[in-house]
This record gives sequence, structure tokens and C-alpha cells, in this order.
Amino acid sequence: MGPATPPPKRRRFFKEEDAFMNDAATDLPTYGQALSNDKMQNITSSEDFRSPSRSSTRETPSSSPPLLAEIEDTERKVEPEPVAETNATVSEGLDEVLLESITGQKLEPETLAILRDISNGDMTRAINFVFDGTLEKYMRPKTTKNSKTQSSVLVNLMPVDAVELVENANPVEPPPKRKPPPRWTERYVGSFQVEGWATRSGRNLLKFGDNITLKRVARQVNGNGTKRFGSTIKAKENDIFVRFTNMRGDEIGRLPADKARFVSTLLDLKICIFTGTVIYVDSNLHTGDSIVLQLKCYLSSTAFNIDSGHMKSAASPQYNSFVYKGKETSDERHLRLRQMALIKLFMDIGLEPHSTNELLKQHTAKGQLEAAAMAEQFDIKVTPNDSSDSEGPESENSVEENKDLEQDQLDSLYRKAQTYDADMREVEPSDTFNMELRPYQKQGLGWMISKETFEKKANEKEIESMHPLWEEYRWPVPDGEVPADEPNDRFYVNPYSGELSLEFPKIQQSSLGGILADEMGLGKTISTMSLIHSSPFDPSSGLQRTSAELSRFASSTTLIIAPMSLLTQWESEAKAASEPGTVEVLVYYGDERSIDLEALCLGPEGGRKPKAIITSYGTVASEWQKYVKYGVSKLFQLHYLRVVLDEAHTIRNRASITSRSCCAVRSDRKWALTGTPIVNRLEDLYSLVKFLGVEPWSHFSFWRTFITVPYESKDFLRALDVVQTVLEPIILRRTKSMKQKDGSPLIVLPPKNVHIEDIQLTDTEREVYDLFYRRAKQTFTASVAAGTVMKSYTTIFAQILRLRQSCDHPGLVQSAVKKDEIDLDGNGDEKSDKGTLLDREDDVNLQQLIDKFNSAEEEKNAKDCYGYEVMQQILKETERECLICSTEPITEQVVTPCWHMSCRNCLLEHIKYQRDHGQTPRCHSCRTEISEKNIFEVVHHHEKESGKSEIALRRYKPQSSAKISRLLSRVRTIRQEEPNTKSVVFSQFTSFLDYIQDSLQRDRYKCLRIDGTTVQRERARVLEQFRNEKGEVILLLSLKTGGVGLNLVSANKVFMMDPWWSFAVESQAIDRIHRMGQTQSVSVYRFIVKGSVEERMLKIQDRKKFLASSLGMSEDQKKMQKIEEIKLLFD
Amino acid sequence: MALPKRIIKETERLVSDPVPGITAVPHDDNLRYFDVTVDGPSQSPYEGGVFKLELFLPEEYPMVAPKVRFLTKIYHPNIDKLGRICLDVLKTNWSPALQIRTILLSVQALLGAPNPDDPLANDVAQRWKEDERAAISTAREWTKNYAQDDAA
Repeated sequence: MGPATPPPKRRRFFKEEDAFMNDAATDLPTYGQALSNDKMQNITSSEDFRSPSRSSTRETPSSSPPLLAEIEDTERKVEPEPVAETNATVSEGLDEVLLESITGQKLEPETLAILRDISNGDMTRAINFVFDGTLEKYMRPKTTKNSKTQSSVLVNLMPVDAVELVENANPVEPPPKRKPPPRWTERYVGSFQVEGWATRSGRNLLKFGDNITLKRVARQVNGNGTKRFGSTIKAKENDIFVRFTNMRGDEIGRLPADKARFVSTLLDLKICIFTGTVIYVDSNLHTGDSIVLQLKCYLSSTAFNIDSGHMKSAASPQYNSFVYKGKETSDERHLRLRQMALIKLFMDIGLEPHSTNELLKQHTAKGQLEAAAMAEQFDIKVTPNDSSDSEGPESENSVEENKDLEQDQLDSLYRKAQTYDADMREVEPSDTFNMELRPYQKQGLGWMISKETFEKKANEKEIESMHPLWEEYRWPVPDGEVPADEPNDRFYVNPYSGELSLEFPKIQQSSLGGILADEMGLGKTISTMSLIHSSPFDPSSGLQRTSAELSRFASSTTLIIAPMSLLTQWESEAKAASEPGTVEVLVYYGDERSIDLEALCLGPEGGRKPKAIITSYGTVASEWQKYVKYGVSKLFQLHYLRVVLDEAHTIRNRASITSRSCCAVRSDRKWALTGTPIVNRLEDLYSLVKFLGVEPWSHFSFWRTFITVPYESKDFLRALDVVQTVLEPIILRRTKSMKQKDGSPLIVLPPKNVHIEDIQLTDTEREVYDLFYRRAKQTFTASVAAGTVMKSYTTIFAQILRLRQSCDHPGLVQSAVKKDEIDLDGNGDEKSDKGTLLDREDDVNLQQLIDKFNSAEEEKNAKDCYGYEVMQQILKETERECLICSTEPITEQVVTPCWHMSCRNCLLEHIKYQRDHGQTPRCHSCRTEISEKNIFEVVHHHEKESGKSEIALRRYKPQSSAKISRLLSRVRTIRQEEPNTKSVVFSQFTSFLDYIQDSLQRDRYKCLRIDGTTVQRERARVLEQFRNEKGEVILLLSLKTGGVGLNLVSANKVFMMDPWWSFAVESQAIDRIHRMGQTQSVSVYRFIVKGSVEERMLKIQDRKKFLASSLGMSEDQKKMQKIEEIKLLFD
Repeated sequence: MALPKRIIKETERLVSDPVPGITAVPHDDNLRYFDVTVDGPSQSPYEGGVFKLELFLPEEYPMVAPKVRFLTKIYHPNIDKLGRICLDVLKTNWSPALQIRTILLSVQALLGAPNPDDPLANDVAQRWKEDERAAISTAREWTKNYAQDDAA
């Protein structure tokens, strides 16, 4: 491009200026050879010349190691034309031998004929025509035979696996009209100068004007170069060396790293072909000397997506099955590398877009900067250890592990996206809809209808405008050539994805639809049903469709994809919401799949023609796989009016089969229903956006540039801002706390009463607790004093965890104690200081304590010790009231050895009170000496069949922790006062749930349980059982598991066995029960141990409500905040 | 703090099933505080007198006994000038199985059976032991003076 500016330090350059001038004259033709032309290579035999640079085809067979770019040759291999003997005769008037020797190209007879015609036999003109490309233009119509190579051009920029090809193959629609493939395999886009450096010394290795060849050499690869493209790339992911060789094929030097970085990518991905000439070189070359090169760059036709969609590669990149979310797939990575490389190249060659979308111009510039920044960031990570094999994506991935969104970030994101306007238009559902919609649901219906119609009109107008993400470029002409004034001679670049195209990228019609993200319990299902009723078919049906499309268009069918466990719920709600006979519902699952879906959906109106097909994610995924493999699938053969994803966050992993299959469903209108559009990462949202086909965000590279990258570089607020812009037009989210126009809440739930249950630990428990408390406090104060709080953060946290566990049940910390002992034993020799010894003593005591605790658990049936008559007496006296608390009948009846009865807790309290006041415990009735150890529980076993109750005596054992005792007494009361009540028990610790379950089951309570270990299928079964159970049942849930998606409205008692750091998490769990559909008032019991960390945690919860959100805080700041909290714990 | 079920029940029963010769009415503003009257037992120096007492149920009730005190002046070896009562069931022999009703019956019984061997008012006990007749006469006197309607 620009004049060859010599590097200032190279003084010799000026001395030899004369020589340069002289050489220039003779070497000009050589310089011109760089203008490669397919024809010119045909002289070469395919095995001799393996080089990415066509200009080097005249050179001696390469002795260099096999090249990466070799494959390119095999793809573009052009059969050598036999040199016709008739050449001489055909090219009469031109000395073909001279011509060929000057141009260095073997010319075909045809070419010679053309040359002769256009040059009128003038040799000089003919030579010029060869070099300035005029010849090429004349030849163009005739050289199409080379276009047979274009079939391989269809192979995309990445190797496309077979599956992908089928996926894109569209048996229903006719093949898209293809533009005639380009008649060239590469085309000039510009040139730039680069200062390489020599890797060897010697005389006359290279001289001015010499052609050089760029080579990518895989360092690890040696031998015959049989390595395939893909594997080579992989092996040397971070190798960016670009070497160049002289005409003899000897390696002379390398490109500097900054250029090599993108040149290597462009070569590896076969986007560009470079030809180079030497501008300046010292004749006496030393290693490390500069060599100034002029590189001409040609875009390879293989780089263009000639096949139909511009969007294809970005919209449906080939995923590898092993990739999981968060990590970019290898193809996404390739696209990104490609994008970066192209942008750098265009910057270097100074190519500017001819036209670009004005609106997005600024955006774009920003985007490119961003991309460059990304490149830097990426390079910094990778280049320092070029030699090591640290792979870019891997190291990035480890960083991404922690990319989960914090709760408060989520909250603020939702807050922003909650664009609920109380004045939104209400729309009455159609008459066939059999349910009463609440005002906000009518508004929702209005919004949904508008999202299904509004955008369509807007799009019809702009149908011919350029896709906003693309830029139009004119093909530049090499210096000195006459610009060809062909209006259509343009190409298009998507600077966000690095895609290239020769076709005009039309703006894509976005799918209609959106995300209905109303909070759980606001009736998303009902809203969807009302939409199906109110907008049952496509009014414009057939307008913009080909007949082939039309023949597959199920114009009045909505496909509903839901988790398997919700299929029946959907079916029953759909039926309940519809006037009989108005909406035919079909559940497409399991055996039902044998029906003829096509005939039904495409058939005449009425009868069994389904308006709604309900199917599961699993079904869709498996049908899709079948469709991809064999092209057969009932589901995928149809084009639906509407597709609805229920619990749409199911597809959040964009690489999963489920996600991909859902995106592959063809439909005009797409809806995603979810109460949690973001489960824990911003990428979760991407899957939804991709499913909806929201332009331009459905391109992952674009998403990455504007959202992921800023987010990862801690620019949370900006990323969230962008997300908000993305979400705003497509999402509707209402929360329970929102108010309607008249100020009344959206939904009125039955009241919820939260009680704090003050728990008094038993003495044994207290001892265990105190021990852990002392230890934890010691550690904490010690590390505060030593200033190592941050360092011992995890240790402190682990100790607090144990402290919290010991509030639940001493058994939970037992293993922790044992583990500590082992640890101590291991380090015993080194750490024989006083502190350790003390600790060890503590441990022994603790173990004894716990042993004591457990030994009391042996169960002895007292039945044998007492006679039958005694039983009868007890049975008679059961109905008496407790002498201590006057409760009637006595709850948790216990009996003393002297046959006096009372409530268990009353008697225990009595005994404890006396002991605490230095008295010998005595019976409350007869003052006989008693103790906890010789009192007995009266156990009633109700036999359902006989209706009789049996009584057994069981020695009282303080087996249960204080919390469990309280729980048992609560559920007992509930059993008496509100029989057939369903309860839910939450705890953070599954081991505590074990204890609870044991105790409940011993007292013959029916228990169900779901925790992290419960497999999905089992969960569904358990929930089903819980829902359908008619009588009393208690569901045990771990807090983490119970927080998501469950609907437990059939219960109305909630027990929160232990507090969490933020009440929001607990409140979420409570909302499983206290949500729409709940008909009874809900009682929540929060179990808090008095005078323990739990009590302090409540204070921290309160405090948190007033603290600014931790949005934008650094990790350390968050830790600091946490440490502040810990301080509160120990104050 | 909510009133335990037991206190509510006891109060209700004191109304629905009153003990002859004893009344106990809780204050409107403090349901643990009772105004009590005990009739002097017949054949005792206290016969014909209506003695006012106060009864308070502490927080720990029924783990601890109610606090009971005579408001009416009474001449009795086990009751002091301040009205404090020396009675085992109000102290060490308390049991949660006892109630307001039973305690007041015990108090009434105490009036019928003074026990100068376990005195609280030493001077009274002394006199009771030395000259029981004079003591009883004084008790009658006091009953007449302090525990009868016209005296109040």
C-alpha cells in the first residue's frame, strides 16, 4: 500500500537506494506476478507446489515441512491443464515463450488467444494485461470451468460434521436460490507492509523484489504432513508463528508477532491468501535483521458463506457435545478469532466499509474497539507461555467457573427489566375461553397479542434494507489498475461475527413472540391458554410463504413444550380453560406418538384437529435427533403457528440437545414462559434470545462482545444495562408485589403468618454448641489479631458452619469432630504447642459428649416391664388433662415410674427446673424422686383398619435435638387440631433431614423427601405423590433444592429448621407453598436457637435489607462484608 | 407474653366451679394478679371474718408456687405482720400439680389449724404456746376488728 518507508535505523537502506531504483525496473514484472490468477497456476503439477501463496507456484518444489495450508490445495485442487502443443499456433502474433518467461506463467491457448485479441498483438500491452487484471476480466466468462471447485466452497469456514449438514438440510423447503458461485478462488482486498525478521544468516538469500511465501508450520508436527486440518489446529492452538520462505523454499524469517497473530488465524482458517514481495533486505543477512515485506492479501472464496443463510454459522454454530455452557464452543472460538483477525486485517490494509447501517455506525465502532480489546485480553492470557500448551479456552473457563450471578445482581436486573405498566391495555379473551382472567392477565394477553402482530408490519417495510450487523465493502483494486465499475461487485462483512458474504444480507424477520416472565404463581399457563384462544390462527396465512412451506404449515396449531412432570397439568388446565369442543388438546408423548400428527394438523378444521399439542422437552430432543439423522420426525415436519416453551429456563444450556432441538422447531411465533429467565448466568438468557431469534442478540459473538465480555471484566453495570435493553422489548415480568391500577395487589393470597420458634438447646446440646462456639471465636479473634482474616476465611467459615449445624443436631458435627482428630493426629508431631493440646482435649470431651448423647438413643420397649393392666389403666387415663399445663388430652404423654402422667415437655421442664434450683427432681403428683431416665413415653399406634389404638410404653430418650422435639410437638398439635394437613420441612443440611425423617417416621408420620441427590424422575414422582395424597403427609426438602420451580400449594404449614444468611432465600422457599393457588392461610415456623449464632443471623438478615446491594463489589469487598457479618456473630 | 393455657383454664374454673368460702378474681389489667377473699373457717377464731389476700402468678408458674399474701390484718402464728404466709406448699412442697384453688384451700386450712411450732410471727407463736386462750381471743378480736364488713 503506502510507500516503502524505511526503518530509520537502517541507514544502509539509503546507501543502496540506487540499486533499489535499478532493480525496481527489472523486477516490476515479478512484483506483478503476485496478482495471481487461477489460470496461472495450472501449469504446476499439484504435488510440487504446496503453498498458501499462489504467487509462489513457479518456484522449486518446496522442501519445507508439510504445511497447514496444504489441505487448502486439496480443496481447491485444479486439474492441471495439459500444455497444448497447439499453443504456438494459437498465439500467433505473440511470442508465447517470451510472454510466459516474463510473466512467469504458463498460459493456456484460450488465454493466449484472448490476450492476442485485446492487445492486438502488442507484446507490452499483453504483458500489462496479464498483470493488471484486465486479462482476468476478459477471461471471466470463460473460466467458469474452474468453478467446479466451488462445490467445496460450500463447506463452510469450519469443518462441518455430517450431523450439522443434515440439520441444515431442509427437506421441506426447496433449496434456497443460490447465487452463482464466484468465478474466482481468491480476490484482492488490499496490501500492507510488514517488517519481518530473519531467522537465519547468509548471503543472497533474498533480494529486493523476490517473492516470498508465507508458511504456517506446526512445530509439533513433523513427517509427511498427513495431519488433518482440524487436529493440527488443535495441537497448536496458540502457535502464531508465520514463517516465510524464499523462492527456493528455504525459511528466511518470521513475521513479527503483532502481524503474525492475525495472519496466522487468517491462514489457518483459510480466509486469506497472502502473496509477498521483498521491499527491503540486506544482502548480507544476519539473524534478527529486519526484512521489509509487502504483503498482498486476497480473500479466499472459501471464506464466504455462499450457501443460503448469512446467519447460519452464527445462528447455529456446530456445537461439540462435550462443551457446556459458560465456555464458548470451539466453533464460537474460531468465529471469534476470525472476527478479530479480519478486523485487524481491515485496519492494516485500510479498508473501510462502503456503506454501513447509519444507526449502528457508532455501535459498530465501539464493537470493533471492544473486539480489539478482547483480542488483547485474550493474547495476554495466552502468549506469555507460547511454549506451554495452556489452551486459551481452558484457562478462560477456569475463570468463568465463578461467573454465577449474585442474587442481588439478579434482583437489580429483574428490577430493571420489570417494565410493567399499570396502564397497559387490557384485552378480553375470546368467548371460547372458559376462565375469568384477572386484570393483569388481560393486560398480559394484550401485550402478547401485540408482540405477535406489531413487529410483522414494521418488518415488511424494511424488507430490503441491509441487515444492521453487516457492512458493505467494495472490492478494492490493486494499485495502478482501472477500477472496474461493476455495481454489484461488492462483498459484505459482519464485523461482529467475522462472517463474510457476497450476497446482500437482508434484514431478517425476527420471530414474533417474547418472554413471559411473570413471577411464579401469576398464571403464565392461563395467560398462554387465553392467547391460544384469542389468536387461534394466522390471519396472514399463506401471504409470504412458498407453497412448499404452506403445505407444512399447521396454521392453527400451537406446540407447547413443557417438562414431563407438567404435561398432565397443562392438559387439565387447557381443558379447564376451554369451552368444550373449542380447543382440541393433544398430548404428544409416549404411546400417543403413534398418531398421524401430519394428517391431523394439516387436515380440515374441526374434528380432532389439535389446536394445542403438548409435548415434553425429552420428546422434542429425541425427535430432533431422529430428524437430524434420518430426516424423519412427526414433530419436526410441521411448521407451527406458535411454539411455547414452558419453564423455558430448561434450555439455558445453549449447547445441550434440548436447547438446540427447541431452537430447531419451526414456528412463526415463539414464546418462552419462565419465572426465572436467568437461573445463574447471563448466558442463560442468551439461549432464550436465541430461541426467539431476536436480532442481533441471537448471534453469540455479538452477545459475547456486548454482554459477556463486559460482565467478565467486572463491568457489571454496563453488561446489565445492555441486557436490559435486550430484554425490554421482549419481556413482560410482573411480580406478586406489584400493584394494579387501583393500588390493589396483583393477586391476593391467603395470609401468611411467620412465627419464630425460640428453641432452647438441651444441656448436652448446649455443651457441644459452646465448645464449637469457643473454638470458632478463638480462631476468628486469633486471625483478626494476626491480620489474616482473609486468608483463614474458609477455615472460619467452616467452623461457623459447624456451629450452625450444632444448633440443629449434635450428630451433624460428629463427623467433623472425627475428621479434626485425624487431622490433628497427622500434624501431632509438628503442632505439639499448647493450643493444639487444648484442642485435642476438647475433642475428647466432645466425643464423650456425643457418645453420651447417642447412648441415650438405645430403644427399649417398656412393654415387657409393665403388665397389661397397667396399660389398660394408662389407656383409661389418657383423656385426663395434664396436671402441669392443663392441656387436655395430654400431649406427648409420659408416665413416671409412680404412674403419674403429664405432657412430656411439662414433666421435663419440671424436672429441669427442680434440678436447676438445686432440688432433687420429684414427681409432680406424689413427690417420688424421678429423673429423665426413668420416665416413659406413651406411644399410640393407630391401626387404620381396625380403628383401635394400641399403646406401648417406650423409655423416654432425649434422642431428638431440641429442634426435632419442637418439630415433633408441632406436627403432633397439627395432627390433633387440623387433621390431614400437609406440611413442608426445609433444612439446609440433608444430614439433618435424615434425623428428622427418622424421628418423624418413628412416630408414624408419612414422610416424603427431595434433596440434591433425588434424581429428576424421582422428584416428579414424589411431588405427584405429595400433591395427590389425601391425608396428612410431611415433605422434607433441602433448602437449595426446594427453592426452584416447585409448586407445593397443597401444603399450608412450613417449617424452616435453620436460618440462611439472607432471608430472600428462605422467603423463596416459603413461596413454594405461599403462591398462587394456595387457598388456606399459611403458617411458617422458623426454628431459631435462643442465644446462638442463629439469633445473630436473624440480625444480619435484617441488616442486609438496608445495605446497598453488593452489585459491582469486588470479590474482596464481598469477603470483607462477609467478615463484618462474622464479627457480628461473635460480638 | 401470652397467658398460658393453664392460667386461663384455672381462672375459668374458679368462676364456673367456685370453692365455697373462697373467691379469687383476676385484675382486668393483669390477669396474673388476683384479688382473693377467704372466709375464716368455722370453729376457728377467724370464723365470721372475710380475709382479703392478694395472689400473684409469677412468670415461671406452674413451675413455682403462686405468691400469696394476706392484706387483712390477722393474728396467726404462721402469718406475719406483712401478711406473709408460712406454708410448705407455697415453698418447698410446691408441685406443679397444685393449683390456685388447692393453694387457697391450704391457706384456709392453715387458718383452722395454726402451727406455732413452725412460726413466722414469733411473738404470736410465743403467745400461742404460752397462753393459747388469750391468743385465740386476740385472734377473734382482730377478726372482728379487721375482717368483718363493718370494719372495712
